[in-house]
Amino acid sequence: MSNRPFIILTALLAFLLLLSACGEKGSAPNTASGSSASAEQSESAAASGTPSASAPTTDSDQQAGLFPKTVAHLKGETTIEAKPARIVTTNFVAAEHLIALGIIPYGTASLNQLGIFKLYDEELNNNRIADLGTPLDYEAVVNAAPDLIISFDWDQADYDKLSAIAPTLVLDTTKSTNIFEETFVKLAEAINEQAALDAFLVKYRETKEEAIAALKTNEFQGKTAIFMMASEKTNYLFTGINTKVFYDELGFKQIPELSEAQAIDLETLRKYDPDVIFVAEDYTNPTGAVEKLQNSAVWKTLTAVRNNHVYETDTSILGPMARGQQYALEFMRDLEP
Amino acid sequence: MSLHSTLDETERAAPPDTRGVNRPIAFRPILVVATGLLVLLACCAISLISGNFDGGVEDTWNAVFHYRADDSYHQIIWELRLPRMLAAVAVGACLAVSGALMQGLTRNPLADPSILGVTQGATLAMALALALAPGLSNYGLMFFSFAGAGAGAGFVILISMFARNGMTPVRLVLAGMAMGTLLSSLATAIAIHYDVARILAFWFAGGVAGVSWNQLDVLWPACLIGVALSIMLARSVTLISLDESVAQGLGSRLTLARIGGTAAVLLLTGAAVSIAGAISFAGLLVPHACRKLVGFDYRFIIPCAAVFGALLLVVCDICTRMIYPPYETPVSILTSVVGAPVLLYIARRQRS
Amino acid sequence: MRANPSMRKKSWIVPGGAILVIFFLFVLSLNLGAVRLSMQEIGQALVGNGNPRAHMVIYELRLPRMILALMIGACLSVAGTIMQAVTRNDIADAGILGITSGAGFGIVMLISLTSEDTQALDTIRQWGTDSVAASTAAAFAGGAIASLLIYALAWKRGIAPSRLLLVGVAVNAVLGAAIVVVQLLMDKGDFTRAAIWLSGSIWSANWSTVLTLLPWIVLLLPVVYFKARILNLLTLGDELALSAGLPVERERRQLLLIAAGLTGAAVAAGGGIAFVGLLAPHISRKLVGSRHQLLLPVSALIGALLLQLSDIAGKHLLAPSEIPVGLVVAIIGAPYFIFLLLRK
Repeated sequence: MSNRPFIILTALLAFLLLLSACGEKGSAPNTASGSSASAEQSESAAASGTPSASAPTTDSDQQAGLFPKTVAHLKGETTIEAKPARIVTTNFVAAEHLIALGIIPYGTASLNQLGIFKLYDEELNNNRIADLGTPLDYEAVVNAAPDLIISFDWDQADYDKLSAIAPTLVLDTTKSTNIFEETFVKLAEAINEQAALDAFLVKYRETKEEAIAALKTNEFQGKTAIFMMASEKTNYLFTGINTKVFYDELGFKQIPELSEAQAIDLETLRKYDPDVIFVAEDYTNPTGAVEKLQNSAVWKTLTAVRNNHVYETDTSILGPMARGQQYALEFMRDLEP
Repeated sequence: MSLHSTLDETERAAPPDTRGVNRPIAFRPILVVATGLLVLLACCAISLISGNFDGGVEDTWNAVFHYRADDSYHQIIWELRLPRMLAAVAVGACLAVSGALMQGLTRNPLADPSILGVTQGATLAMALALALAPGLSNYGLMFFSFAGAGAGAGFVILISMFARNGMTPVRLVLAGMAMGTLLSSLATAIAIHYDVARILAFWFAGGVAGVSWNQLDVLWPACLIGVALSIMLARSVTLISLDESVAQGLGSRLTLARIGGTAAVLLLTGAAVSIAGAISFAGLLVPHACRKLVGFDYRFIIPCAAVFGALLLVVCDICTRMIYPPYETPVSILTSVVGAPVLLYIARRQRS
Repeated sequence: MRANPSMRKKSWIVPGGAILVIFFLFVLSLNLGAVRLSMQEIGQALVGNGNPRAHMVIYELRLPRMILALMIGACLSVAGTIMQAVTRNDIADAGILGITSGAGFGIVMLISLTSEDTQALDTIRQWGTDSVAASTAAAFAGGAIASLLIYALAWKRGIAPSRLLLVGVAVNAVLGAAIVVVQLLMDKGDFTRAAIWLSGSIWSANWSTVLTLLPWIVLLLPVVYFKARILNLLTLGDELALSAGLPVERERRQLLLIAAGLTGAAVAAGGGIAFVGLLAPHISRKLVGSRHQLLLPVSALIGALLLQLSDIAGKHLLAPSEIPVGLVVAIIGAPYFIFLLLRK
């Protein structure tokens, strides 16, 4: 009985070991340069007091009086000593909330998710946000040396580990009745970005009024509409909290039989024949599914298609992103009848 | 290990009688296949009538034979339901015949694309395609899936052909599972990293919904060629399936059949999986039922499998539309509900 | 069974060697990670004198994961050793027999049942260990049910080991399909959670997971060791075992349940990791023979070593990306396994 298989296995394991040691060294420059470069950047940033600082309109004296503050959140209470200069987030939605408030987070997990939407191109191109990995690499967080970590209940981050690194807030999104606003407000209030929050909300509400007025003028109110995402094999319907603002506030009507988010086929679409269709391409996997739909003869018989009431958009209007929701209102306001 | 010895004694039908054509037992397979065809036709008609958009039998008849381009019901029939029904027929036939071939070539009653790592190969190929080439056209995606399924099938069959001392059914299943686990782990890792996991799962839940005529242009030729090839090889496959020593004695002539059979499996499975995703257990049940109905001769098993495989899938496809209207249930759920008990029953009856 | 002196000496080489390698890898992985720490810092942190940063990294981040990898590896390989003895087939393990799928099904059901109902989630959280206890319970329940199912289905005037294997394969396929079905009915967040979990990852390792797994190891491993003689007898065949006075069916049942327990706990802690329970006993058998008194501890050590190595590779090979440990093991394990099958 030869020992060959065993020897082969040992060799394989040894090789693997060697690779991982080299892999670590090979990548260490990357992570090291990632962390040391950003360490340098943050040092110079701290010296010149720029990007990671707060919105320009804030008065630093006013800020000083509001800290330290204790914030109650999902996992208990956390005390924030001073105005955070280096915030790190454990999911890209929290990162985007910060961006919407005019703050550039020092780093975030799943950074690549932000790059999918054009809404953040400017911030992403002009600033260096550290990518903390997908899933979150806790050691990268340690390297980032943040003074505040923001997490959501759904991103599975380990609170005990995070709070050992820096003060951590875990925001509870499960009881929200609104796609983004409640969490957004909670976040802004926790870090005392009242001015930026107010500015955002004022603009948001204004745009909402404008959108409602525009939709009324263009006679969209009361028309049945559906929001769907075209994908390779089938189409998904968006409903529930994702589309609540469109149905409950902007005046579109929902088709009662289609009130659950599910896959929907062309035949069903043809049967219920909505007046307006909003179709989004699957942002993680654009394969021209929308074109495929448009070439279908059955699609062309839909009322919405014949009246030119099919609008192509992207899924940012259906998600919990603050800027996405702002964009959604602008999109609706500017709809051509 | 021959197929005979792995089945319970009571399951074996009487050996096919070759003494004369007037023996009643020779009529039986033809009767079975003919009945199957009739039932299939009926179910196809039902499939055309079922769906969310209401229409009667007469409307449907007119739609098929007296098509009017301006009638939206007719359009729905031609653009949506007809290709879907035709795809179900072809995919069902492909999977069943492929399963029958696999079971015969490997002398393993548990052989099936989803157990032997074939669909996992296709999943991996799809994951790669979705992750790395997001703009790929429909044809491109189909090709990837085809290649992946084919690679998976081919690999496992190659192992079984070239294993030292032959491969017992158990070992083959284990090898297939090992490959399957590896491939699906890879696919999952890629999918999670590129965030296409859910899309991949829906793609792979399988089903013939949304099939276009373009896809049928690829599917039907593959199906027909594959089934024709299988029938041509049927006699040799029968020999291979019956006994190891007989097979070895006939040597090179059977090697050609093995290669041909593998090619047929590749073609059939690749086409089916690339269009309809992974439909579990479909390739497993039908060959078993056919063996019970028409005996051990693959000249009868293959056509029988084609017809009944088509029937199974058409019926399941109808059911996916009826369970939770107006939404669709993934077809894998249905085939699993039917297939799982059958699989357990088969496994229980094994010896050795 | 005679044990000559040279065998007795030999029987220390392998376990000793394995422990040495594990120790070496342990020290190595203390050093690896995005945060660069000097050996001095690590040393100080280990004895409790380190600066807060080093202490945090070593104690909260690296150590739990390393220990968990060893524990899970040991659990899985002991479970595999049991399976191989019970089925008299050295290419069986909990994964192939569908017990891992059962555990996975239990957890997937837990995720889906606790997602909508936030009240249920709060109750689970109150158990104190952030639902790790719940996951372990769900995994164990799933694994136990799967093994009972397999046993019941394979029973036909007794259990023929090969039928056990085939039924196990079938149950595995069925539960695998069931998992996919439940997953398809989940929403995206849960789905990704379930997918990450099922692929086998020790990413979220923390001390509470370690503490939850610990009782299973502390209780079950010694029990298995006491049954070493029984395992030896079982591998000889049913007739011999019966004639030696062994209540074969009862012992098989118990052992299967123990294996299910070990697997369930391991799966709850580290997700669906395949092949460890298959390779480790196999390799160990080549090294030290089939006497379970020696095979069991060596299996545990080799399994721990295998998983430790895979976890290190998975975490650092493609840094900053992480390869799930289940995948690394599969990449090593599958080809080797197939190679084994071919050689037979």
